[in-house]
Amino acid sequence: MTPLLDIADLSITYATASGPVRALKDVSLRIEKGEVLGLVGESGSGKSTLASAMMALLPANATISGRLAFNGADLFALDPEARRRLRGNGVAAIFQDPFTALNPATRIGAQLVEFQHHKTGIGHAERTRRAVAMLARVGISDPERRMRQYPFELSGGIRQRVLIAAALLTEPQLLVADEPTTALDATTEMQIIALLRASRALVDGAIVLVTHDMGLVADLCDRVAVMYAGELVEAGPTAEVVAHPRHPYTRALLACDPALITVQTRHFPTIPGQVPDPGIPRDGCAFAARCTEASGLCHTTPPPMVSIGIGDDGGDFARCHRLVA
Amino acid sequence: MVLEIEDLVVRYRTGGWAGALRPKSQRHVEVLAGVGLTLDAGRTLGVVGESGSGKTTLARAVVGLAPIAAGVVRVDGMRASGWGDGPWRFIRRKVGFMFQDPLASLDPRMDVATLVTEPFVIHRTQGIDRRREAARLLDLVGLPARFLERHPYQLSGGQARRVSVARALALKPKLVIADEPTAGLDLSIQGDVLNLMTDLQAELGMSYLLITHNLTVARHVADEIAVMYLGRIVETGPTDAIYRAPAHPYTRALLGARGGGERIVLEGEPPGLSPRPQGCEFHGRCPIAKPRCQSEAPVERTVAPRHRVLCHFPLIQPDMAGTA
Repeated sequence: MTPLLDIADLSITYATASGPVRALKDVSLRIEKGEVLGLVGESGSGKSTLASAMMALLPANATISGRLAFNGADLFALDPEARRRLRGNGVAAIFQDPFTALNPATRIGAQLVEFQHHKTGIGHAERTRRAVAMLARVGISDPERRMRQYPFELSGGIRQRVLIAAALLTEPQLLVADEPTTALDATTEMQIIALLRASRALVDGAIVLVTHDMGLVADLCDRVAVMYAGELVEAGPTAEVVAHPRHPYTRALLACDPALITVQTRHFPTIPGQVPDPGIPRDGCAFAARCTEASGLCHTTPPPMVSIGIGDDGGDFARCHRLVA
Repeated sequence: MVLEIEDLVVRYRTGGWAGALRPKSQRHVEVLAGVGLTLDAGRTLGVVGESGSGKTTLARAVVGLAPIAAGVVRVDGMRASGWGDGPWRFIRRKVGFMFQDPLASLDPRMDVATLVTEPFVIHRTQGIDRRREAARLLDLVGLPARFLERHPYQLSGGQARRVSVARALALKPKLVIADEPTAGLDLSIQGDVLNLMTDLQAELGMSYLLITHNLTVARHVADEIAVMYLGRIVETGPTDAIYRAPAHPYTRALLGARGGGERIVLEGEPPGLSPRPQGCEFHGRCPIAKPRCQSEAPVERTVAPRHRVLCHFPLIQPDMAGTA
């Protein structure tokens, strides 16, 4: 069976005034239908670039090599018109900031109708009816009234619900949620997490959740992919990766999450050093300079993808020299 | 006692002059409705709550940056009295302030050396070698001296936090108010900044008023917690007591966001402030609200030593406390 999304050796370099910046390096990842994948990493890890690539939303200064196939069709080989059709009709996104993702000058209802412009064979009245029904499904009370309101009249939590409704209205096969709860309060965050969990049943395809919150991943995702400095360093089933992280970076990242530290402490574990400058070409492992287990080889040779042997198709792996027995 | 707040009320005027002509119109929004708390030397108090709960207003009111309608604020035993900004100068000398967004609070045209020694100029401190003080402060927060000439745009998020820590410490304050000191930072860098704040407290002995919505952070670094809802402190007590056995349903719901135990997911969002809800202000969202909560405002009760709650039906009873 063809995976929904098949990414192979994807590298993306941005041309900038101060030279080329390598945002992604040899990323390979498969996402199956029905899966919820967590994409985690710190700022600068390339997770947003990878998410943009999935939506074919890369800026003009990006140079791409490798392959990103959606339902078997290479996204980068498509002509721009076909790629545009895919967005909002196959791939949908929920963005971090619900305050800027909606048009401030248009009523919610008009925007929700507009989002369905790819759907053929249904008229305006049917689109309105679908929008109202979807608002009700995402837990918005009095949806008819909300349809007549403007974004500024809504709170952050309601706006994020509207955006989830908008994404679901397009009946996407791939839903990319980029930090969907970062801008929200704790109690609102919990409501949105519950809604995202319920959305699994509404999406006939896969969900990619981009986040830096491991707790959220453990809560929602079947699989997790960990990124560092533009590389995918580990991927596998969430429970397995959280319980037995193979890559030293994954281990370090889990160790410094205060939510996972059960004993009260004043001294948090940190990862000494800094993320390498993506503008400087490097040999060897991206994490070598900060890794406590690095040896000579790590600084000179790119680490291999080592299967961690849960799935036998090589979809679960860690990229580390230390794992080669 | 480094900080003492009694019955603090902060009101903002609303509606403009036209509203004044309408009878019975609401002229004020009460953002803080009678807040009381104390903070001892060398301790950390975490103030937690959702946006709009009044955390930042409380922080600002401590240094006279919010319109105080009633109540008392004492910093190191001193109280500002009289009109205007003048009396607050003496209090502000004793308080270091780390604002929410460090990059926005650092003047983009000043270099780091000028930024961290600005408090000396504002408070007209005599006989100071600014250059030497700047180097000392950067050393204190673990930034190399080459950062002295840098400008804010050349700083990463974590470095900008360190600069704002350095500036807050310039006048050797008794109290440092840290408003969301780790918002927007990656986990590993968040740990760095918190470790730095902890080390500096051990070294210099000041108190922290830590304003945050991050409950997992507050749990680790605060000695005591105050939970705010709609401009009131609804629960306060020692950190481990509150996290082990929260007494207020709102606290339980907030904590339920992470960690074990029965999970309460709150419906809806905080109600508006004008007018304030009747009775217990939480009753509209409370999963265990009873008729009495709709009509009668709760009074503060003590459920354990130093552990107080504003609720008619607290989740723990006084006799249970201390046995867990």
